[in-house]
Formats: sequence, structure tokens, C-alpha cells
Amino acid sequence: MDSIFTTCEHCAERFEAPTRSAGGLTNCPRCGQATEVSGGSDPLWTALVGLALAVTVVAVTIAYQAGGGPAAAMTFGVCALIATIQRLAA
Amino acid sequence: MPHAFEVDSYTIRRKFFTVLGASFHIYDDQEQLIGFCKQKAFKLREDIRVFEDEAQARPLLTIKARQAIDFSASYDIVDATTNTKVGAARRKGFTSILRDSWEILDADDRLIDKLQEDSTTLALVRRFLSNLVPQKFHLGSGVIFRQRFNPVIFKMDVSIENAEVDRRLILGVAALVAAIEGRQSN
Repeated sequence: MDSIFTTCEHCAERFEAPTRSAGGLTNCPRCGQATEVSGGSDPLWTALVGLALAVTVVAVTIAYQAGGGPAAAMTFGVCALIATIQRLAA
Repeated sequence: MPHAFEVDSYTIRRKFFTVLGASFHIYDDQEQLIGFCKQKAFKLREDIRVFEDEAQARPLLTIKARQAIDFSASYDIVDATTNTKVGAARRKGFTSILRDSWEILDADDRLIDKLQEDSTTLALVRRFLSNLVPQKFHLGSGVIFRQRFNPVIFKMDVSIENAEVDRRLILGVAALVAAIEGRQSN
């Protein structure tokens, strides 16, 4: 069984939890209470954050290359980031 | 043990006027309130609580999503009276595009049962023709979630005939289905 070490947030017991519980909860073998298992990423969420950052970087670069200056480039970048978040949240 | 964990049948009814988030009343077959379910608003990760009554003084279950995005998300179900995990439910994202499907996991995240919408044909009718057709789910062979026909207020009957699954887990999954699938049908 693949396992991951985690520490109980209630009694500080360090124990092995199944990898499939990573990012979720498991019951501590010592105190029996539910505790979070460290690890576990959210691949889709990570991809969306990456996409938003990429759009921002591209927007800043385009605005800077077009001769808008750093302030205008940053403003354009922030606007692009907000627009991307609005799109993703819709 | 709270009454909500002992009854064989109950009805989950969405509260019509809720300012933020969503809330549901849970009634037994005598129309007595046995639980109140509250879905928190503005939470990045889904957070659903089941209480003994509307006063929200005594929590029974806590349901939390592991991921921020609920496509294929897993939800841990915790007995709030003892703070022990009773199991989890995992929504099968791709399968659910055509037919809602969930995997029911035990406290160690091992698959113990499946919850599935009644038939692919009806599921397709609901998605592409009319979402007025009530949903029906089977959890294993002994538990049925049956949505009532009501275009205004979401109502779902839960009947437990021969359950091998922990009743706390059944109530948690029913609350999840009402909150997640009920939101999609409205």
C-alpha cells in the first residue's frame, strides 16, 4: 500500500496514511479524530492558475513591446488577469 | 444517537428563501424535522454542514471538498459529534456528464459502493430535453434517492431498505447530492 506520513492536528501523532487520502481527511490511529492528510494537489486548479498567470505575462509583454511603458504594461496586465479570472469563474 | 441516523426514510427539502448559499430541511416520514443542512456561500471549497435543527446548535455532519473545483471532486464526510471521518464520496466527473455517478468510500478511502442515476436514457432526457424529469439514484441495492416532481422547490426522498453502508454516510451523501446535483437541476 502506498502511504504518506502525516501528523495528527489533535494529538500530534505521526502516522502513515494511504496516499489516496492525500489532501483529504483520515482518522488518527491514536486519538481516532479526523485529521488532514498533507499533500494532494488539485491539477485542474493548478492549470487554471497557471493559465491566468500566463495570460498576464503575455499581456504585460505585449503592452511593453507596444511602447506603453512599465506603468501601462502593468495596468494592462492586471486588467488581463481580472478578465481571465472573470472568464474562469463564469 | 441522533434521530437522523436511525430513520429508514426521510425527505430533504430545499429552503426557498436563502440569502447566501443554500439550505435544506430534513424531515422524517412523520413530517418531523430531524435535520437542517447548510451549504456555506463564498467558500473556495464546498463546505456543507448538517445540524440537528435549524438553530444550528448541534452539528451532526461536516462535509468538505478536497478540491476547489468540483469536477471529479472528493468530499470527506465527518461525524461532527465525534469528529471522526465516516467516509467520503467522489463524483465521477466525466461519467457524470451523461449520467450522474458517485463512488462511495469508507473512512480509509476504499471503494465500498456506488451511487448512480437511474437510467442513461432518462439522464440524457434531463440534460438535453427537460430538467423537469425528476432524478432517481440507487446506492447499492438497498438505498434509493428519489427526487419529487417540483419545478419550484427541490425535494428528494431517501429510502433505506437494506443498507450495509453506515447511515451517517448515507445522510452525508444525500445532503451532497441535494446540494450539488440539486444546484444543477435548478
